[in-house]
Amino acid sequence: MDSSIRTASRGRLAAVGGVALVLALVAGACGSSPSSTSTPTTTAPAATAPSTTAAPSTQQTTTTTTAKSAYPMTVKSTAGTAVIKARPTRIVSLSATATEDLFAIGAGSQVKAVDSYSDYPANAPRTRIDALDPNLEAVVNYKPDLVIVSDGPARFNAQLAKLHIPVVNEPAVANLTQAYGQLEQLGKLTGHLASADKVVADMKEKVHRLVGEVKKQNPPLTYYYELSTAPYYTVTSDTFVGSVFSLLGLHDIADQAGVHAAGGYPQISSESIVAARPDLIFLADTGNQGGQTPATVKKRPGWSQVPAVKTGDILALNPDIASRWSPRIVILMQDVVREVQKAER
Amino acid sequence: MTGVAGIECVDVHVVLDHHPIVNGVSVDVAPGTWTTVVGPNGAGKTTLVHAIAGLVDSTGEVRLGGRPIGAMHRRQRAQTIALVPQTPVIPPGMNVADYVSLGRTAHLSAWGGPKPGDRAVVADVVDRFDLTAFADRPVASLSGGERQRCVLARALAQQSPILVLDEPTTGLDLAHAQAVLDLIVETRRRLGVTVLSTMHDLTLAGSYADRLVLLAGGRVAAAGRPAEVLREDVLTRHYGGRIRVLDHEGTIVVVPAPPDGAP
Amino acid sequence: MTTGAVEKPAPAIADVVGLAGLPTSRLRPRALVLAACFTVACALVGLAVGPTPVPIGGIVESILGHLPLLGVHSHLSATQTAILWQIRAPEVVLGLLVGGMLALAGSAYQGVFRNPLADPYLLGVSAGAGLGATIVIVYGSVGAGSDPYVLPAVAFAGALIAVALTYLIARGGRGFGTASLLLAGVAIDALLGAIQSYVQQQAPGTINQAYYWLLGSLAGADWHDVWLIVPYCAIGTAVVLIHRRTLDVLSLGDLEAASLGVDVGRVRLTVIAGASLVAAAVVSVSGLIGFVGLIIPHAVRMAAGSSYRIVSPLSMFVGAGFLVLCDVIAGRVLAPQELPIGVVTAVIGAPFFIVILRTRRAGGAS
Repeated sequence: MDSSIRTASRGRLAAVGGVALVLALVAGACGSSPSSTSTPTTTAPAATAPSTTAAPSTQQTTTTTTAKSAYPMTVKSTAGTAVIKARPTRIVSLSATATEDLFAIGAGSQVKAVDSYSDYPANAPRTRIDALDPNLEAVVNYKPDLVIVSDGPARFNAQLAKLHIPVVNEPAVANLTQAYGQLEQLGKLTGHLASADKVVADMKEKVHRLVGEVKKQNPPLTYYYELSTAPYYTVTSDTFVGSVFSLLGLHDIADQAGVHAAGGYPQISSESIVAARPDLIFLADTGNQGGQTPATVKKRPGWSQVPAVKTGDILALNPDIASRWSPRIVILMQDVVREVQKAER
Repeated sequence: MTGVAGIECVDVHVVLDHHPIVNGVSVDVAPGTWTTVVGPNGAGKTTLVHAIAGLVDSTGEVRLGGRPIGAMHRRQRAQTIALVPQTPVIPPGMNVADYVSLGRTAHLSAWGGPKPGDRAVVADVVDRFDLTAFADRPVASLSGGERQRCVLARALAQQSPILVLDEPTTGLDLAHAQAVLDLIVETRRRLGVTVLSTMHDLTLAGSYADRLVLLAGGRVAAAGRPAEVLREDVLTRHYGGRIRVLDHEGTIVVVPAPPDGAP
Repeated sequence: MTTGAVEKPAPAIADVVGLAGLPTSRLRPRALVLAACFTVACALVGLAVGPTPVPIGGIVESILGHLPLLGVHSHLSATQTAILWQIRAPEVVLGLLVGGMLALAGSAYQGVFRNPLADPYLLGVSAGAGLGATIVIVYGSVGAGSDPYVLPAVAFAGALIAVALTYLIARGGRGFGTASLLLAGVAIDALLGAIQSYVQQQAPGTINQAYYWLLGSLAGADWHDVWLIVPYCAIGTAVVLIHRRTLDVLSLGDLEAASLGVDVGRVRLTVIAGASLVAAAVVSVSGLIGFVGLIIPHAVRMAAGSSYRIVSPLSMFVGAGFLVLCDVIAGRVLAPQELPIGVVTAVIGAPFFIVILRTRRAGGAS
């Protein structure tokens, strides 16, 4: 089995190598354009110099890629060092965001299996593998030549490394810039860099337009973002979704406890929420993630005095989009901007 | 209060845990008299008196004051017969006054607390038994003799015409044992209660009871006045061992005989 | 005094000894008032303390403003009023109820089992409620999509079913004793606990939610939770308090209690039923809060005497105030994080429990 794959991939390698070289040159040109802030990885075409660029946020780990031709590629992430010998055609994605990214950049046909939480797009080859506790045998059964994880168990990564299966960690990001960086890295890994760049550019343009549609408020509108009830958990602006709201000029009531409280995901009491009088409420615990709706929020004891409840500015978010950092985040931003415009005085 | 009531038992059987303990005992205690049940260990003395007190299931007939025990409501039964158990449970921290007051339980209504009449009875009995000085001390802190007086006082606070005492002298030295038994004598004289007791010490049993019942293997082996029951042949047959019965100035004394060959 | 069968001794003795001196235990009015004041004070603390400052004067004013004919008007803002009456007050009232009922049930169980180390979870209330709650959390559609009162109802039913099962298992024959009940309780705890672990494994994503419920919490209480359990608390309280004298008699053991005319089996069943009813009711809305049922009756015993005429009523008041104080600590000590209240009661209760054990071993009569 292995030998036949190797033969096939060797046959393609020459063709791909040539294409990759061209793409790498193009990517290099794009990579040096001033508008893109650097992601943790930079590719120098035909150069072997590894380069690292510190991301604006220190949360993101540094990943380096070196390439002469595109392949073989060495990728360092917190999952270890992965050597990708050729363009991967049997990718297993154990990250819902990575799955969305891969399909968005056109690498969908190279994906052979995705985890149980990867429900978008609908035609992704979904399995019952649990991303939080992946079964090694089940994953190996797909004979992957690249496994993408997102802050999964370290032991699993070590086991894959022992089997010489390349695994790359695409961890949760802190802001849009890092999200763009992951898209581009996936583009590099899968040989769809041009496509990835197009997706990123598209996203940037939409974000720019949406930010422009929001009027600057003084004082800024405040919001409460709900992750769960009983007890109430929220996010500070130090998280990805929090950073998105900050872009739109919104102020997070959870920041009053300190932006770094509880790693960005602090617990908050009912009383604190009511006392903070948020203008907007965003619910991420909707549907089967908690079943909350604007109607249930209105019924909460003591919340009738909250401005967001009085004006009805409660928005139920798609909990999947809200917990990922894929291109679909733009949809969430669109909904939020609509709500903000409603609330603008 | 204490009228007069006797005990009649006809063919009482008690089976505990599939073991027959009491096997067809018929015993009568005339009202106002004192009957003591004696017998070797395991003869079923305690079980018999518990059955008479209605505290263990039995077949056969038990009548207290002429009324069958089965026809009595448990409160009525408690007002008719009071038990001083072999090993009384002393709740830690409970003082003498509270402990003796528990004797009034069968007389209290379900809703109310003790009435002045109840309190008076308790006060009287505490006074008679010289427990007033200890009234607010925990029962557990008293000496053996004082504790036994408390248990007796509680039983008397019940004001039942029948008093059952299971080994009332256990763990008491001679003087204290005598004191307790003298108290019972005094009570009987004053109130006319019927007394049924079990006892280990045959000499004491003979000195205080009007009638003795010798129980062996759950059956009545002998019954009658102390002089009739406390005889060497009777006792040796049922107790085994070497027993000598002496008559000292009218008092029957039962002693162990020395080993063979000794003077 | 006259000899012969006299019904009542001469009045002189009754006056002197019966009324003036015999030191029987009774619930002194002063002790009751003191306990009630403690409860009210704790309630006020619970209303006054929180992330948002609300002045005590404003609280008192607001309370008085609710009473008719006094003409007092509250000067609190709408937000403060909402926080006070919709968020803090239900939590305080629920805390009073839960604490009081747990302490009362604890005293009842200690009386029935003749053991001051008994607590209201001995016969399966906690195991049953925990299993019921876990089943709802794992299999039910939790969250406000479904009826939010499914969980308390199932937890309540689970608790009562567990106690009934314990009782049935313990019935070897007639007159089974406290030892069989205790052992049956251990068995039911183990069995239901195992089932609960299995059920929980079916949905590891809900472990957080289940864990949080199991540790107990009063946060998020609303008035509906309070009204939901009031009828059961009323019935159970009545049953336990009615039997407070009988619990003293039970301390003599089954044999002697029976000889005093008590129907030991029926009393045991009735008191356990009443105590389990209130324990199940409060556990169903507050989760499993431990140590209150164990240590409050003990503290009352040490301070005021060991008769259940004293311990049961006073435990209610002291337990109520105590739990409200624990709730305040749970909400403030790591603010804005809210500690599960079971952690606070354990931190306070465990050392107290150790002290109790040591004084008992040293021979203290308590």
